[in-house]
Amino acid sequence: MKLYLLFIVTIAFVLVSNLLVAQTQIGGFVEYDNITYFNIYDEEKINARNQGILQLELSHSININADVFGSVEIREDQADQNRSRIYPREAYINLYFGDFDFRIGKQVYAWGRADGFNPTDNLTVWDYSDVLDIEGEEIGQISALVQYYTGNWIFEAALVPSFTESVLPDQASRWWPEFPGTIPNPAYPEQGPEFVPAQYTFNDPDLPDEGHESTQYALRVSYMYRGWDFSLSWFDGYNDLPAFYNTPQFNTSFTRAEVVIDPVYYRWRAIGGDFATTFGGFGVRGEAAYFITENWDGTDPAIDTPYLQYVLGMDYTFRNVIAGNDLFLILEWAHDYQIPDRDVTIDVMNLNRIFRKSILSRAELSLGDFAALTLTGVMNFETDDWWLQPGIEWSVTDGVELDARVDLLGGPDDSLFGMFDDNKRVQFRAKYSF
Amino acid sequence: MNLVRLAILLVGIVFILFPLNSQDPTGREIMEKYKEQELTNDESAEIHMKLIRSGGRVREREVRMISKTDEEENRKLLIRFLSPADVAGTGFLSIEYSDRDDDNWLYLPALRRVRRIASQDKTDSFVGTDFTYEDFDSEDLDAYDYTFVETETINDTETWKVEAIPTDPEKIEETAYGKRELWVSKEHAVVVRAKHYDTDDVLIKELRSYDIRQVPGTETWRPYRMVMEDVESGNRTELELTDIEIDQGIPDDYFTQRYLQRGR
Repeated sequence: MKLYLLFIVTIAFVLVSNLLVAQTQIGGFVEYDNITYFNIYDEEKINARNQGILQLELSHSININADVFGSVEIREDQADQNRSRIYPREAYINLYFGDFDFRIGKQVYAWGRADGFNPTDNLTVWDYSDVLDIEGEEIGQISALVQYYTGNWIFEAALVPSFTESVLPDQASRWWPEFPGTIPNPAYPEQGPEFVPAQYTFNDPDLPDEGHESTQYALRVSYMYRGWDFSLSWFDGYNDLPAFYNTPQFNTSFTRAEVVIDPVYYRWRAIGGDFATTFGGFGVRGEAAYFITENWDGTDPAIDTPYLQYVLGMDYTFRNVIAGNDLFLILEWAHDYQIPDRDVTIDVMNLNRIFRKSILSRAELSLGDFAALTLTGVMNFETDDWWLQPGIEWSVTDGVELDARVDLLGGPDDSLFGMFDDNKRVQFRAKYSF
Repeated sequence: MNLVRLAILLVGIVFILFPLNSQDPTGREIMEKYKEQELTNDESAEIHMKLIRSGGRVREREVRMISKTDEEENRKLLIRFLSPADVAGTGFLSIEYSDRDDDNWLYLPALRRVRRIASQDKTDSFVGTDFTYEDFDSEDLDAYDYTFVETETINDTETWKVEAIPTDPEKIEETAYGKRELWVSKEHAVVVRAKHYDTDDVLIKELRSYDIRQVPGTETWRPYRMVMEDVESGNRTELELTDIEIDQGIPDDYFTQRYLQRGR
């Protein structure tokens, strides 16, 4: 599908929507998104993004106790056809009965009160096909959610009968890691050289069996008391990212090797909590989760041993910083450590564990009423890598937004942002919401 | 006592018993009438906002606003954006407690999260308009010294002009206004015009109210159109109110995170 077709469909859709009944609301957005990398080091890679998105959203109120919502995304990426898709993002029914709310269908969850990084948000799966651009890339889960409200308490239970995995970068993507061309030879010095050339084979992922034993569930209790919001949560399900088992197979003379990689999705549990409050003009929030994996004794080479993650942060708005414009600042500290303590090596591409001793921040300096300069950044002190994203956002007119941002990243080669330091780039987006 | 002294005494007694303009109430009395008119248990309205920048650019917003003062004198406010599309669904919930700091939450549909936010500075812009949060505050009669200035006719409406100067230290601390001039209609006790001055007595904003009507089913009068102009920047915001409803018994449940997120 060509990009212009998206726009024609959008216009037709807006016209048709005006004919529909009042209880039905139709909206959505059309977006153009371009990414250009500063350097091309491999012509075989996907070296750009040039996509259009049309997202249609329909909500319909059936009666006072029920409504439905659905959204469909049509995405056409001329630089990477693997990203082109027609995709039902969400489709669910809401039912309201007294103190109970039910939501049944394909839906996106957003648990946790921290900004940007939410250790308790384990029901959400993501499209990581572009590691730096996951805004709005949540993937809906077919599930049922019940919420019970009483006084300042909220009790929630979610049931996910089938497993959905997160989308990983394509092998042709610039976000697919480079694997070492040689690996150590275990037979050295008796046979062959110390390092031998290696080729890699990726098997299809080992997904959880269909059936009730793969059902996932989560519980959350939230409470509000005198200026504080709290919650405690429990998740029993699958890691949305696989463990990668590497099996090297050497030829008889130990002069070359083939490494077979098997992605395996495994079950884990997480107990977590979060809070939010304010002190004066400061917003203060925090979140923590302890991940209980099946590798308690540390004998499995691919599955994480149990670990704790927490994030603690605050935000503040500085008034009249420059020419009467305000500066909004978020600053967070994220930490990840093994409990019980172990000396483990965390895979550089383990996207669940990017922020191990990290500062995450975002600054927004308003430029008048309808524009802002932004600066988003991460500094990982354990791995000495960093990512910085200056940008500018402009609301051109009602419903029309333009933004441009630059991704700068660096660090040692064995760190996430260092491994991809050739992926410095500029991104431009135009979005019309209707 | 000679005749001159007697005459002075008599004149003094007359002035005490029959002051000049005896038909005009005091500034405080005028504002008590206004306050009586302003006070409701709950109120809701749809508001069409037109933000007109000095360069001529115009932005429009549509919000649904509901408010309530509960039995414990806590003031609750829920604002939901209905348009434009890029901000539709955004919600703001504020509870001003009589005995502790306010609770404020923002719901952004794109984030799908209810976010507790710090209390708004009273002098902050109200959802991007030329109104500030304090412009929507209930009049605190004990925090000001009110002086009746004169009677004046504004757009064929007979008004009392009142000067309000903050005297309460807390109010002086939080307000951007060192003085307000208020024109209160004699007939319905509605503010039809207001000039706001900063602490250096410089005029910074001017409010004009139009289309003052009785809210159906009530004894209460409200302006259905208001214009606030920022004198310094030349920006102005026009508010058009529709579907005003007063004392309809809005339940407390509406002012919860549940409704903030749910939107209905």
